[in-house]
Amino acid sequence: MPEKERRMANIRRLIYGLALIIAALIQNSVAFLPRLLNVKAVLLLPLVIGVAMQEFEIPALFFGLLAGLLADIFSAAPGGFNALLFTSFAFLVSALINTVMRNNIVTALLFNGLGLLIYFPTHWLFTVVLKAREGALAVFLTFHLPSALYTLLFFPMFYYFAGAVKRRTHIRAL
Amino acid sequence: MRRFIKSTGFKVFLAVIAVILAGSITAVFTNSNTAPQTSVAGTFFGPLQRFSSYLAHNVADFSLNFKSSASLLKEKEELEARIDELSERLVDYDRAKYTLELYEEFLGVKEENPSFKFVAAPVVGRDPLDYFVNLTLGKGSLHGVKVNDPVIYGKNLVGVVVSVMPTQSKVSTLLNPDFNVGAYETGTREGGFVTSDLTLSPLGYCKLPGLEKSTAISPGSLVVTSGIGGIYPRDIIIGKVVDIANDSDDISSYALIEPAVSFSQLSDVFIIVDFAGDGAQVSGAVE
Repeated sequence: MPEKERRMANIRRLIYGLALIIAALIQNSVAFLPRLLNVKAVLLLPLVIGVAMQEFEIPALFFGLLAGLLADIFSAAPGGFNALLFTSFAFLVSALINTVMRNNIVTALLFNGLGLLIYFPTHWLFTVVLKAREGALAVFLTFHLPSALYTLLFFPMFYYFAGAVKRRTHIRAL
Repeated sequence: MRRFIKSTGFKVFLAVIAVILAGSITAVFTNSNTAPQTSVAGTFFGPLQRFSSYLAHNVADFSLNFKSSASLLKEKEELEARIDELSERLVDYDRAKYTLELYEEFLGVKEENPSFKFVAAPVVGRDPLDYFVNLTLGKGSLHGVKVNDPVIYGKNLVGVVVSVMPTQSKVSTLLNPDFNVGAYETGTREGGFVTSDLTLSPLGYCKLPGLEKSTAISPGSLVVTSGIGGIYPRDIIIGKVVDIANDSDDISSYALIEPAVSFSQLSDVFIIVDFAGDGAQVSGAVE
């Protein structure tokens, strides 16, 4: 890899890393992110998917790992839950984009939809159902589902952000 | 597919997943209840999150002043500058007043319970997907905090430390169904344990179950910790009884309790890291 290309790739990954840290700070802080219907969004999930869609598998999985670790610091879920899911999402999304799928907004919507379908029910299972079964479904419908929909609102912003960073730091070989 | 499985990327992925799983398994067998990788991340990320939390509280304090300034754009510049200066002073005053009140309460608790050893801790974060209002505090094992240390605000019980990282710790509050604390009602001395469930938690209530149908406990009475179990000191205020209801599972009744603490507004708490009877089985004069 030429020197300039490598430097631009490093700058891009630095920007992605900083974006993940800022998203984690906003997501976990008490006052930054407004509550909608008394729920908050998990910003790291659409951001990880957006970044993974622009990166190769190995950098993508490390971005997933970083996001998961940042989420795990504050999470009520069992230790390593977010790291495990985010790393897997990032790796699979990147592998699919780099082999069989097109990189566009529809694919981003598909990945985010699938990500939410896996992440939120699994989180609900570990943090609610395992504690108390009675009323667990109501918790999912009134808390986790609105939170998933709120999270989905952020996917276009993060998809276009990650794409814009990639375009501005990408050097095509002649 | 075979090429994908044999690729370097897939091997790295499996290695990372194995490390995460090993960390998660380790967390189960350690006293801290925290995966090592989360502890490392928490140590590096902690100071940043504390700063962000401080900023978030100040942004919330400043929002009113910001709006006021916006509506005064047509006023003369001298007046705007004066208003801004006074607003900043007012925010500083409010924060100082809040801190003073907090420490006054703390001093009262300390005078009443000389055996208590405290660590003051800021609330630095909350899990956006946590249904039970658990908290992350900006103090951890480096400050002497351990799993099962009680957390209080003034004379009121907030919860208990459930996992510890070097510079942060997670607290399970009274609203978590996993949380149980030995308790009694001060007037009748009827006792049991206080917990919550999925229907009471979002309403901000917990309950004292297992009471007799003919219980003498009435709305308005105070429920405090009994000290039984040795995790919580005796006579820390849990909350006030708001209703007596029949249990749907058996013939007993339960007291519906409104916690004395407003969990959503907490920004600083105290962790009791040591007290007389810590870890001991206390036999209380509680029915």
